Amino acid sequence: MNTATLRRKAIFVQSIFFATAAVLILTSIALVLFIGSQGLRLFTTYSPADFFFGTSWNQSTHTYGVIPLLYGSLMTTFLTLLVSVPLAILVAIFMVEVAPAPMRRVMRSTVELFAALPSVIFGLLALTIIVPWVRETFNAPLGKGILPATIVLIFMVQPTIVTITEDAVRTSASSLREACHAVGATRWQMLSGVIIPASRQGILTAVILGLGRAVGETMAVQMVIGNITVRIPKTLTEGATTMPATIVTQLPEAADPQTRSALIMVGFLLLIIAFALILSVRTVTGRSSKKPKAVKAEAPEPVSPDPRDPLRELEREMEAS
Amino acid sequence: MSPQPITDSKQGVVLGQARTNGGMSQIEIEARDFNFFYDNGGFKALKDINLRMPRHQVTALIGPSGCGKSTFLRAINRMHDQTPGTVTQGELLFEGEDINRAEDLIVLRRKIGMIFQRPNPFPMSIFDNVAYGLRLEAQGVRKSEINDRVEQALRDAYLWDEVKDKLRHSGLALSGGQQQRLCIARAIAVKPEVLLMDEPCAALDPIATLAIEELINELVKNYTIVIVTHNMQQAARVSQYTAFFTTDDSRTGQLVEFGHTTDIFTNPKDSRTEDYITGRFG
Amino acid sequence: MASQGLDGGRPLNEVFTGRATRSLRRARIVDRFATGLMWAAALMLVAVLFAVIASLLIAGIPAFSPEFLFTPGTFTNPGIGPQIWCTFYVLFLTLLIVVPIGTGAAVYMSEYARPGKLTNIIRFSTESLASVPSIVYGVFGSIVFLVMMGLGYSILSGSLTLALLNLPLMVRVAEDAIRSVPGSYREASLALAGSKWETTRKVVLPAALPGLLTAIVLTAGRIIGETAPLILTMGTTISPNAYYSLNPLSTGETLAVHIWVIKIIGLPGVPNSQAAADGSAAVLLLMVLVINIFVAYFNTRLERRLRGAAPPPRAGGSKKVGT
Repeated sequence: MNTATLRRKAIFVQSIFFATAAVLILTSIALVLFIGSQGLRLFTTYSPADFFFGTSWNQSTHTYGVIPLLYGSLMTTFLTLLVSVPLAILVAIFMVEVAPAPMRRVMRSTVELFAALPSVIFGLLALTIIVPWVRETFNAPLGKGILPATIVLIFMVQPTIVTITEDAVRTSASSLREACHAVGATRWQMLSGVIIPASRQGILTAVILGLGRAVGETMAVQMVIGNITVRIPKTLTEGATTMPATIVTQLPEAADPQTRSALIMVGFLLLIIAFALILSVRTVTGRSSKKPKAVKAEAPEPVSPDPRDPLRELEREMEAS
Repeated sequence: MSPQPITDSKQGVVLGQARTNGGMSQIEIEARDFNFFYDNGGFKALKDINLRMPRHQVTALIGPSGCGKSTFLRAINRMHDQTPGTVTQGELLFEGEDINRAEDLIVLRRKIGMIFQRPNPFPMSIFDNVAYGLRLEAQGVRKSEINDRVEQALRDAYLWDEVKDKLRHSGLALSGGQQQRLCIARAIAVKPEVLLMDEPCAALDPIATLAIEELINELVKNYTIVIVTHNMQQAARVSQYTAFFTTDDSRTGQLVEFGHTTDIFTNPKDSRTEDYITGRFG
Repeated sequence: MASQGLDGGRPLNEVFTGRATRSLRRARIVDRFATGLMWAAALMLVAVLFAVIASLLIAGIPAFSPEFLFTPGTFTNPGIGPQIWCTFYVLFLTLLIVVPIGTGAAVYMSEYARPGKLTNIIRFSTESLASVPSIVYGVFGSIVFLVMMGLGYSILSGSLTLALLNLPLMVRVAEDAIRSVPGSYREASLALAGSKWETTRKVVLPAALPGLLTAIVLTAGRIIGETAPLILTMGTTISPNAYYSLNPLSTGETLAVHIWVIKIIGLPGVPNSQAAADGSAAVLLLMVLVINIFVAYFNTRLERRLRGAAPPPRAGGSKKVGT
């Protein structure tokens, strides 16, 4: 083979690899383009104001107010994070600083398995355990609603928040642990006063990604929330809905184009939320990666200790004296 | 300033004055047949160390890499407790009490502060860095007192003039040398008795190194300082006493020679010390 | 002055008797309480996982029988044979699409891509796609594969959707695996005048194999558990004439979807639907557990290989011994 053939072959191979990578770009563009165009089509026949501010979603009367869906999504997410963030931080610092090595391995497997369990299995268990419990404890006829959805989500977001928090805490602990011990801090004083504050960017990232997980979770929530779209729930134990739950419940049977567009529009909102979250993660981590650079620029070049050179100087000094 | 030297029959080297009964001893830290192991005794890192470090003097620990000098330094405030499988044997005394029998590590470490190879200020403001140790004991300490103590510690660390206008700025925004002096201020703010320094200038440029050395010469008036250094000239400049460590074939560290720094550098008794000092090895 | 503590110079021997200041005593109580809280949180999580697995297996395994596992459901027998078949078929089809594309993209990102705008865009796309909820992929599949491409509710639509959904994960893990191959391997091959493609094919990819297998197995775990996008693209039933069919254009129902169908839509006329759901969940759980054991296995092999590439210093040396 001559060089020209070789070069042509190399270019050909590289283009194939590039094409596979380009699938990622194309998918991103296509997601926005198709879901956006099909979703926004709703507004040719339906007023955006009624969509964004309407407090009832009822496909049989062609009412598509997104507020009950948004309310359910925000409420479940907020309540979930309220409990799961402190819990996950405790678990993460436990894994880094407290757990003996065998226990740490147990925790790691636990977190991995939690992440691997299919959401429909969480939903099934929530349906057979949490829903009856809510029904009896709160005297709720259905037992479904925001409360059981929140309880199951608390466990489902643990792997996301724990893993990222653990990484952040491990990094800051490795550089600060000795300094804390040397000043005579107790372990909790070290964790609460130095390590957790030092890890706040990583923890924030973990919370944002956990939030994304909670907002997007579909099956487990759909199975226990009741899927009531026509009104905003007044309590946490009456039927409610979230954005993904509404889509998966109604899209397969949505025959008329307007309902379809409305549901796709809800999907578009979810897409926008996902992109907004990833952008905020970028902002958070971007800030952190800029900081050390500024410090590095100020810090002088470290000098490697050379035991010999100073010696000669010492000898010279001694000879002189 | 150095105390009346006496001769230790066992080591045959010059040591600080013997302890006096009742009052403050002249010997701050003493090792008696001290052995140190990693891996639950599987690896002997230090063998039969006998050493008496006098109060308010700088003792330099020198020797080739892997000779156990850092291990010894970190044993003094029990930093090894973090490492699973470390075992000690023999006695390591601080003011006559065995460090390894101390029940209260936190109190021990507040008495024996430490400065590390890399400056490691906390990611908080300069003020909060220095106040950190004080606030751990916040009960009964007034805010104005904390302010005073922070200022005093920063003055004692020769850092006050450089940072007094930016106490609320992040400690991480300082230069490497300033960060190390901030760490020293943080350590002395809680008024320890001993300062352990583990190659405090290894990551600094020559000018910052000089500043730290001047600071050490000043701090020694109030603190007993033990410093590990690779830099022979630095050992000669800052220390009154020098301990030379080396390893045998099994990589176990041992003390070869201990005495006045000038004696060690000008008139070493052991040929291994002489070889190292004159640069033939290590 | 230097010898005085904050409390004004306690006698030194107090240092070792454990008699501490009041604030330190309080800090220690708080410390103990916080430690207890951390243990409680961690043990709670372990206990919940254990309870989840145990209750699923206890409820589900009694339903296991040859009829249950290998025959279609009827009015008297809640069999899941076709659903298990369909799960593996969807898994196979999806991997067939996602593995080559994902590996190719990973090779491009680790071996070919130069830092620049284009590479940044690909990376940003991957990150963004990874954060898009699976239901949104379902909506996308329903628009593009079902309607625009006219594939309708079908195993193919479902597999294509799942392939897109899992592409970011596959790329990320595979890229990590390829990047972990030491640069010296590449240099050795390039020095022998191997082309970049030959180097990649003969040296880099074989060396990255355990990591690539991890990527594939991880992706497989996600595929068999995925439900929401399939409901929107593959349907929720298998017609009796498509049982055990290889026709990618027929509708399908994986185990995960089946569990949902039983609990939410209900199997009309089947008396023992709870047993069917529990049995299906136990089968699904066992698959997930087996997959995780594989992941753990490949990870240890990968770690061992990486450690083999750079042997750690001996026991004492790995710790800090008086530098």
